[in-house]
Amino acid sequence: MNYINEIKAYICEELAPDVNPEELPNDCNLLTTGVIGSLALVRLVTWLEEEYDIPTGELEIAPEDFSTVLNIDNFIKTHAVELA
Amino acid sequence: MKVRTLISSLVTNSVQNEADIAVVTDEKSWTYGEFAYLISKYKVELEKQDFVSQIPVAVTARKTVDTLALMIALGDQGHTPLVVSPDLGAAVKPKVFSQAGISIELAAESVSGNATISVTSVPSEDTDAELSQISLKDSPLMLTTSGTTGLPKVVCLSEASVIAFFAWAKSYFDLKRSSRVLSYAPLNFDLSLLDVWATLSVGGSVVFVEPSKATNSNYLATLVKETKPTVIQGVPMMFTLLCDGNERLGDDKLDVEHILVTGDVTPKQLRKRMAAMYPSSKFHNVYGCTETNDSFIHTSVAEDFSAYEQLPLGTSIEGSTFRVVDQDGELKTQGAGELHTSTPFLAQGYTDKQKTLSAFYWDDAEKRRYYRTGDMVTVESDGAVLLQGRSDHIVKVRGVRTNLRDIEHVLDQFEQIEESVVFSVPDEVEGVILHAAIKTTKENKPSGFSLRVHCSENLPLTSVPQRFHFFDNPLPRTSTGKPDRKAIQNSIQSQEV
Repeated sequence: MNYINEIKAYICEELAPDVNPEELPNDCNLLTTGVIGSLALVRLVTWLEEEYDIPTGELEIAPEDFSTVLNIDNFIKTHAVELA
Repeated sequence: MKVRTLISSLVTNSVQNEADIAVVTDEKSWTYGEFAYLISKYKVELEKQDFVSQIPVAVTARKTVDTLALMIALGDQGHTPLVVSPDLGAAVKPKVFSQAGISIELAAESVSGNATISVTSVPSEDTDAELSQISLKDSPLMLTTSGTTGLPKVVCLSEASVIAFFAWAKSYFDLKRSSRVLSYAPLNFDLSLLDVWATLSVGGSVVFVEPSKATNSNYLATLVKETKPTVIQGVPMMFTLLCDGNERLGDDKLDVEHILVTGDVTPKQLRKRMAAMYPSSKFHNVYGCTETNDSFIHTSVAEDFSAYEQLPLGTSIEGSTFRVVDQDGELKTQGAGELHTSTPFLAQGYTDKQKTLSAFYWDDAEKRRYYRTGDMVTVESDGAVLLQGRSDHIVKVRGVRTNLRDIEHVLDQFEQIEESVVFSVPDEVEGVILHAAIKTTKENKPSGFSLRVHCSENLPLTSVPQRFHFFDNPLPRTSTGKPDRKAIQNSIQSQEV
């Protein structure tokens, strides 16, 4: 199972509403292309925490973990597994 | 319009070149003889009015030959007209008039072939303005600023500066009896000093664009095709309309001696279209403002005009000088700062003394007056001056000084974008959020993702807009033809609520 569609839906509805989920490549760097700005990153992390019960405050996280849709997907899988 | 040389030249032309065309309107072509006769009728009408000698009066700037005739008649009788837009709001009008000590507004109209003047009293309004000790005796004309940063200010020109401007325009654009100059701008704009008054001063022909059809591209292209102007001056929007209309009519090349673009940044894509349409024209990028008139000019041939990434401001006009001053008041020979200019065409000032004192200053060492333009420029290492935008186009995004015009410039290079306007919206969390309004080509629309990638490749990350809004229709414009940033912002924000 992956979370790619959910991640893209959140980004394109909440953080970058003018971006179409279908055009967003999974490996595109969201931070250096300005799709996710610094404060949008904070909102993304909060969403991950609330949506997937990931205790981000207890984890060592780096912006790189959220730089692409694939990385975010991996982040959820990794920490969701830990929680499970 | 109280310029002695203009009035005497009109008299001479009405006698020596009576059958020459002075003004072309949609209804008819007015000869210098007919125009002089109309002026004489307005003089008679003015004499019937009980005005105190030499008082300033407002004139409604309807774009008609009657308005021109009334302005000349007023000047001939020693009055200094303040030309105001017919659309000047009723709430703003008393405030503007009070700044200039004006209480009556005149409008000229032909009724059943008779020259008539309607007189409206405008109640004065309490104002903080302290009237300048400006010599109206020496002032041929008053104009208002656009009021984009608040209440329009009343600018008082001087006769010497208007005469100097006529002389420069005549020489630079080769104005003569055979010249035909398109008049697109409203009569209350400073552009009319060239389009209308300088042209009439040399006995040339003025071709009026009917204001109610000014955004009709087919009308504009047909008018230009039929009247064959030798000089066309306008804001980029006008040239976009002309290119649209001309391409639709299927006439891809026109012979115009001088093309003047002014008032705004001309995107490269538009310049390419213009160069293709006017391959043999001289292109002039003209920079100036109501207070200084034209102060910089950059002249190029079609090939170069279309090739620049950003059009240079050019060199200061003969007899003009400039300085660039940074935030600390230091003069800059290189780098960014605010542009201060001093031209032979400098206005006397505003009618409001305090506003004059804050915008104009005297340099005793140089024995010159300077005007603070409020425009930010960069001086390159080779001395070239590039316009960066109004100082109010600079915002701080997460502490980084960001020029909204730079972002628009980068967006305008994107193939599917016809025009862009970037603005900042205050945000409680982020400080400001950058929004981009995008007018796209009809064929296809770029995606928000591709624009972010394009911006991030060409700009600092803080300059990448966080919201893109797409428009199929032309972006709203101000009366001066510039993008109406407030209206665009309001329209987007009302959709988001």
